Amino acid sequence: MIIGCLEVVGLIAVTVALFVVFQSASFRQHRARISLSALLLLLAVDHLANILEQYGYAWADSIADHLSFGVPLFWGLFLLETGREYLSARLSASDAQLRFLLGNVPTSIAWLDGKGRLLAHSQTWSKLFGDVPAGTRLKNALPVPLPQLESAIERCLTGEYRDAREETTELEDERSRYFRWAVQSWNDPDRDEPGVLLTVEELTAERDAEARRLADAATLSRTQRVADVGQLAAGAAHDFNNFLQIMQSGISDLEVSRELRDETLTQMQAALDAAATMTRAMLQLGGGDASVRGALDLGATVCEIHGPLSRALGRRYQLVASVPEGQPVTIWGNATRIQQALLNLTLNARDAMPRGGRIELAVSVEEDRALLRVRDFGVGMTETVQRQLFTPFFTTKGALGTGLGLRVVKTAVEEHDGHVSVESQPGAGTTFRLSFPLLDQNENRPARRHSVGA
Amino acid sequence: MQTPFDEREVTVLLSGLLLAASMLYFRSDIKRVPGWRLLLAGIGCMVIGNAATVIEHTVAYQLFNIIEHASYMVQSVVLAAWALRLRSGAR
Repeated sequence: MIIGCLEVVGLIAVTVALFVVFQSASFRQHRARISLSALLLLLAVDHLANILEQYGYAWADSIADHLSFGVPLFWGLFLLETGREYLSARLSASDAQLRFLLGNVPTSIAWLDGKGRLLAHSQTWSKLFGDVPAGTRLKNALPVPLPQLESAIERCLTGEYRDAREETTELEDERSRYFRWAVQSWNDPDRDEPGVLLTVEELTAERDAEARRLADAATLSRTQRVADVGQLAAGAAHDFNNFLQIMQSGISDLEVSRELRDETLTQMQAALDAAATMTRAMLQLGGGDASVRGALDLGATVCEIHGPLSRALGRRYQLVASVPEGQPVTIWGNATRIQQALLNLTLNARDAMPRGGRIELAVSVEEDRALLRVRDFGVGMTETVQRQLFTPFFTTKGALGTGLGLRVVKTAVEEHDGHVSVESQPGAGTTFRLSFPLLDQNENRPARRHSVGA
Repeated sequence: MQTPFDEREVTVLLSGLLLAASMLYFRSDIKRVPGWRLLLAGIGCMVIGNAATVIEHTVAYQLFNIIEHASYMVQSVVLAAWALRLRSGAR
């Protein structure tokens, strides 16, 4: 009774399976459909024979015994076909993946066989070198001869080395084309011989863009140079104007008093010398010439320019210089550049006091630094003006100013490793503080060529 | 010499064992088949059924006879389950 029930359940299961195999779309294209159907039919008959045997039909037992031989056989056949089905599907998937890779990889890839013939290549290869049929020799497939690449491939095929990579430049119609390529040997399992995997990347567009970028940078540099020269010319005009004012003032004095003639002439000569030095400085900036710097007493430099400046300022202004007596304040610098800075600051101070007044020049030593202070008691400056003070071409004097005077001051101070600061309040005057590193008197510092200018 | 075993049944058992051994040997390929565990169970049931058929003639006939038919029944159920699984779209 139990056995009969078991066989009935088995028969039902097999019948369901047979129905599924014959009805389901999943099995219509299945390679193992026939062998599975045969196995299921065999099992169905076997179950049926066993059921009949339970009901006393002895001949059914003989049938079941004979059928039992076929069960392992059809199982094997079914497994073999099923395995092939899924291995084939797997192979098709791998093939599709490879084709997708070759169609979409951004690098030009090609496989070569042992004789240097193309086996397959990526879509990008076709875009770069044209669509070449499989079996074509590489040298016939390349529109541009790449002898180094061909040599590397031959060496890879002969086993001389396993991989190589290089960049080459080839001419095509008088136009350079740049390539980066790599070759790697591989064993072709289909042919059981060494082959070559080749990747080629054309760099021509990148190199052309780089060349254009460099050309643009050179053009920009030339443009910047022209702008610098323009700025320099404007600065020179500004400084020359300052020197001319000194000489103009001197001539006025000569007309007023013949007693001051010798002193005035000396001062005018000094102004001309300073103008000549400035001209040299301009030449240095334009052509790379240099002037010598040396140990410089800041107090003496101030005293030297005090006279010409007093003359330039006129009678309404009182220029007071305060320097340490008998105690030189020595820096490593260029007197003309310092005097240029002083001249600009003093004339600015004058402009800040249109009705005249007192201008103070003071030299001192503070915290191991030389300090040069220029103070006026004029209109002062707002914080907004102070923030833009050293910006080239910024001026509060309208058409009368160039906006370069304080830029010249800042440049001159920075050339001496110093820095400029300003304290000012509207209506309370302005103080410029020029700070320089002190020169150690024991230090035997050699005079060196120093480029003057921006 | 008379043996208690039926030659045909022993041959079927050896064939089943050979099939099971082959399946184990090629298991890396068989694993690519969806529901491969069901197929492995089906083969196992067949072998158990074949073994029970051989053994039932020597000891505990009733027990091994039930085991034999139960194994064949499970084998059929497992095959039906595999077919249903494949119909549901597992590949």
